[in-house]
Amino acid sequence: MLLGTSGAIYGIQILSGLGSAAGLFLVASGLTLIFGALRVINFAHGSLYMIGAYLAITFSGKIGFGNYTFFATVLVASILVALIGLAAEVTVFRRIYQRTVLTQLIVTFAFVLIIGGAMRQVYGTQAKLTGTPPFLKGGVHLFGGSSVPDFSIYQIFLIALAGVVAIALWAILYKTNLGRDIRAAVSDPELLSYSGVNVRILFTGVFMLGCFFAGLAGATYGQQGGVDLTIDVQVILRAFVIIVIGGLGSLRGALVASILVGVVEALGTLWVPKASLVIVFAVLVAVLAVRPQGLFGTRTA
Amino acid sequence: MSRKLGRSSRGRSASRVALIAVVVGALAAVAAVSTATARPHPTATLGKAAGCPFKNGEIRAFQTLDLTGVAGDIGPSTYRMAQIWVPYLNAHGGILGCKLVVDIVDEPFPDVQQCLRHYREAIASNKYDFYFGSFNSACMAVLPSLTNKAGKAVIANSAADHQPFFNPKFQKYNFHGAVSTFLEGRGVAVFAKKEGWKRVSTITPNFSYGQDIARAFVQYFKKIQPGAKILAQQFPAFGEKNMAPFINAVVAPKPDAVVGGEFSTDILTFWKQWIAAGIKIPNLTLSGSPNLELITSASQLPPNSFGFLRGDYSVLKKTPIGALVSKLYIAKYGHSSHPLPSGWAYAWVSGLQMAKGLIEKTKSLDPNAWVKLVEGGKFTFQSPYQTGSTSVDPINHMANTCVTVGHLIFVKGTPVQTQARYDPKNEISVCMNDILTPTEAKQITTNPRVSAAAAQYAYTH
Repeated sequence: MLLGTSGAIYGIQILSGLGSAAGLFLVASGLTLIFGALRVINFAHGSLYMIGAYLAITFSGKIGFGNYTFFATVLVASILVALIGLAAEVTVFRRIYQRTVLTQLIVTFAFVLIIGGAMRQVYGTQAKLTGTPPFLKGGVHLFGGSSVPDFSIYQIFLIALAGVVAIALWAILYKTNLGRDIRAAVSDPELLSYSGVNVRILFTGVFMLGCFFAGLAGATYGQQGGVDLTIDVQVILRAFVIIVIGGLGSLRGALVASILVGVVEALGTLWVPKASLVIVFAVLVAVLAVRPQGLFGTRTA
Repeated sequence: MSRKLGRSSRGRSASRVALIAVVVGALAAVAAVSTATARPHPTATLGKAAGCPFKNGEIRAFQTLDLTGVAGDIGPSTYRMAQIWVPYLNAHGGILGCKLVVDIVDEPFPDVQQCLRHYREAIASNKYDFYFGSFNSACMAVLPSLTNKAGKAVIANSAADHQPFFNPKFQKYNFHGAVSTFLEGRGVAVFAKKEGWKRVSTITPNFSYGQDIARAFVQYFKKIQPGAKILAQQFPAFGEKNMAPFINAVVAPKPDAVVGGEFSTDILTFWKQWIAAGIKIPNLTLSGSPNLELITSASQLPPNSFGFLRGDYSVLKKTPIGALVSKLYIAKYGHSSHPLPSGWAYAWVSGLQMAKGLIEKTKSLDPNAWVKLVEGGKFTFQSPYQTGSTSVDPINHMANTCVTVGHLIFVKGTPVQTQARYDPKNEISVCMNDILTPTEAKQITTNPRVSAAAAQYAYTH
């Protein structure tokens, strides 16, 4: 027993908040990467997340959710979502990079409707449920006596996965030539193109990478409960809150904001249960009142 | 190799075409979703020739159901029943020889505005003789204001919300033919008392339905169970994907049980995370077909799971109307993904049966005639909930329907029923007249038109 009962409930609540934070970061990382590099507010990111979730359900239905097949399923689903992202970028998205925010929102929202309708046709309106791979089943008892619930091993996995994604993205952006090009493209894509870099392919690659993370989030975070056709909008609203709090385009901001929102929301359920819906927006308002550009965003003229 | 980011006029033209294509595609998708309107086909000689006393020889009602929203297949499974029961009635003489038409339009849950807009348009069209309530409880809480203002009756047979039947929202053209949140909450309290639970936490969705059922449960549980304590209450958003913080909060005070109103996809999320948290105390949710169909192994159903429902097949198949509609449903869909009628489907039939009874006994579509009949205290109809006639409370216009509450078990390898199901050995039916006395009915609904004699008659028959 690590803590007394009252301390234990706070302990488990904070860990559960980190579980939420991990899932939110997985979604927000791809979203903020795409915005940071391409300056596109991709409202369809949640739809790509939903595709990842449903593809994982489809594959797990075929090959099961065993220890190894789970990873295969997650990887294949993420790659397929990246390929869908490739098709979307080549046909539509690259045409709106330089357009107004309103145009971007309308076009990406159109994708939300189209993908939602297509998924409804393919999968129907009934919710879906997958099993859990054996090594992620159950929980571990970390705090307090028998009245304090176990902490889900699946959430531990999500936290670890989010950590790996954060480190991998940081390494890609700051330790590789590709990352240098991406950061240069954010500052001045035209100048970068004069240096011999194919900016169009670079942008396509970044968009695919962002979509890969959307698929990864859907295939993992999406599976911790039932999956239905509304997870796209539900997740994108929260992901937008995260990247606005963290600062648009800031990976570090997305990470910190995910943790902030996840933990505050979890603790808020203890303190103000009837207001749990508004806690996340209260955090948003509080942060923007102090730093309109977000925690790690930069002011623009 | 480098390429400029600027665009040629040809490129701009192509992008314009692409944009238009995307927007048109989106609009087409929306249109495809929103026009899922049902029209039953007449199968017998009906209308003026059959003696129908109403204009055009038909009776026309309107309703919205969630066919494409977040509540999963609850709406579509109800819609299936509508497609069976309306043609069946029409094939057997309709209502007073009139063809019954029920236009059902999609209200993607939880879009309250779209739901209300459909009803406003329906009322403005002046095509409908009366209305059935919406699926969405928040929409249902507002809808009676529209229908009463238009001088039309509304019969709740989908959303369970009880607000429109109690002060201060009760209006005279409101009728309830299904199971209400009031009955569900109180029925669960009766079951909780039977199980000996005293220290209870609640977890219900954070919108009208969840708040109403939690209130109904808490208020009645404290009344009937000596020493009852509510230890914690949580209200997760509908569609919440991380239930863990909410589960932690309700379990931490060491309750005897966690009573909830989670339903649809949220039950699946709740159970998956409940199991992972290793919790052994009883949990109770709004469980039933079609959601129980998704439980395909015993390990997906937490130990000590209980549920409540607007009438389970195991109970309602024993009543004449319940048996008939179940037989018709199973004959058509028994080998489909939803082999049994859902609790919502039975509730829908009950509302329609109430309308049929009101029309046949008053020979009128005038809601004032319906009000007079019901408030006289002697109106009954044939619902799936009772073996004999189903009475209607003259004070609040709510039918004497019943909620099923019981233990959930997993039985492998049964061909028609879902594998996760109510245990016939540990389930109860709680009806309105079990949990509401005339005295209390008068206290919670002000209806000066009802005489003491009428109320007394209704409750003693």
